[in-house]
Amino acid sequence: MKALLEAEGLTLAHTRGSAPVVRALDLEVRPGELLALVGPNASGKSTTLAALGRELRPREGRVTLDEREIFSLPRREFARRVARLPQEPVCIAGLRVEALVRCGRFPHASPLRAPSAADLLPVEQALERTGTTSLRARRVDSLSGGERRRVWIAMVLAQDADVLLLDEPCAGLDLRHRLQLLELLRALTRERGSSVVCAIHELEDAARFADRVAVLKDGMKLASGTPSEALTAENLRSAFGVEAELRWERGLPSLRVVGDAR
Amino acid sequence: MIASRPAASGAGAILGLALLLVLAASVSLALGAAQIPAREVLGALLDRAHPDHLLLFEVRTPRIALAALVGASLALAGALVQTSVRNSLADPGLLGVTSGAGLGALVWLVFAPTHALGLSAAAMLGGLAAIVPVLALSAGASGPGGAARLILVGVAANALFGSAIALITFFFADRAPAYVAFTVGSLNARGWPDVSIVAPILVFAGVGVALLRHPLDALLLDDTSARSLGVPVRALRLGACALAAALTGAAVSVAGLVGFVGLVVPNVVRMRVGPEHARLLPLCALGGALLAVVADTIARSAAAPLELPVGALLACVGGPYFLWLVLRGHA
Repeated sequence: MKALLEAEGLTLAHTRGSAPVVRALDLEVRPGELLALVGPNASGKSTTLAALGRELRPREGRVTLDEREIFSLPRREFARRVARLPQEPVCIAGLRVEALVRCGRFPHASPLRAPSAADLLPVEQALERTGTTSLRARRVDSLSGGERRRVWIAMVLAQDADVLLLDEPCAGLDLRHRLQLLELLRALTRERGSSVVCAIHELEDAARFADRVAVLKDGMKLASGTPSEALTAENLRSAFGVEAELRWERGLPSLRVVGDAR
Repeated sequence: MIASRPAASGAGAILGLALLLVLAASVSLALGAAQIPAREVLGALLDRAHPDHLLLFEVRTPRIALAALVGASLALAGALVQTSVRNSLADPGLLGVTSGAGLGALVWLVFAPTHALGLSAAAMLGGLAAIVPVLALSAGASGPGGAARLILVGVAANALFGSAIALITFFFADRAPAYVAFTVGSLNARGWPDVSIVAPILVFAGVGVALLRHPLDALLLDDTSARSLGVPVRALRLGACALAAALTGAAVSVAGLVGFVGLVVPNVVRMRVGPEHARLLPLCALGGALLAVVADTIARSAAAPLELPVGALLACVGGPYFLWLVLRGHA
């Protein structure tokens, strides 16, 4: 299948002089798939997401959306197609949930006009899908960590983009909300044909919900493919330095970690 | 947890504040060194033959109008600067924008003929120059220690502009008296010509502010999130700061160094209706106008026939309020 968003030979560094944190990375995001980026801390997951989301200019290589270089696209057009949630988004004290989620409509509404009812329909849907409708009048800074994460996800959903780039969307969520969120993301890929790229720490979650997994190590792609292809014992040892094995029982993956490989 | 009352309806609050402003202006017309009975005010204002007509029409009306315009300008400027640096402790005065505008005005007063329009332009340029360091720092102003950095930059900027002002007034002592009156912050002896300078600038900036009211909401998010929504963060911030500098410069050029309106008003309004600009900005303009009209009325009637400096009066309210904001950790 043809890639929707594609990175070719990506070398990324945070500042001009610093050593690259991602090197010669090729990655493709296909329409309607959930792609999980896994890897140990500092393996380049967040940096890769930043480059895919046009937040970081590659030192070498390029990222294309439908075969067009992303920096050549008008910024609003890009924002209508690709939404990105950073790891720790913040907003000013006192902002209310509904106002935050409405910000997701910026790329669609005329910047000079108040949003119309049609513009705001996706806001309602996003609140509903993330189970945050009852929080709409609350101040974002009065919410718990998990609630806050969900309303930010609602903001990104309201953006109604073809590709969602999410940096550890499950961090800070309890078991049930983690499950609900991952099910929601998978549903988005199935129903809307959205593509979702997630940096994710829980390998069982990646294996269970992702269509494909890319394993990063030291800024390079170690492996990619279906969960069973990518998360082999050998790759886990090489990437994470642990003896571990992914087992499948009745379609559910479980990770058995034997111990430190070194 | 702070009670999360549903955001007050914008239209109702706007109407209420507008009525209060009209009321304050009417009361203000009757008060002053020469008391005019309340029921005669309207008649005297409209009747050219009335003995008090000149006083009301040529002295009090333009002064009240000017107070309203200056207050609205400063409150809007405060709201814009606070959004730009994403910190509610910011204020054109604290960040040195007001004293930058004052320096611009002084340079004009000393080196150029006192043409009022040039004075406003010089004050605006001074304010604009002062806002550059604010912009440079705005990216980190919401992070840890951001409030402290912001205030330190303000201290440094105010010290720098203050020393330039002191040196110029020292070397050009003969031309300085006009400036000394200027630094106090007063609307004494201002008339229609001053109104005709500030009003167009406020209208012009007001249109800009009205156009930006929705995009400005994106600056309430962190820069990365705002950029990912397709918002040109840097250009927007620059535009907001330029508008704030123009508004501050216009206000300073007619009213002198009046502080704290830009701090107090947006913070009070934000606490009531939240930080979204479509509601915040019109209410700030009205609230600023109301505060300045009330303060100026007190300044010229409380100790009549003596006139209190309105800048000092506002600082009496603003200083403690600022301390309260800091202590409460509102940054």
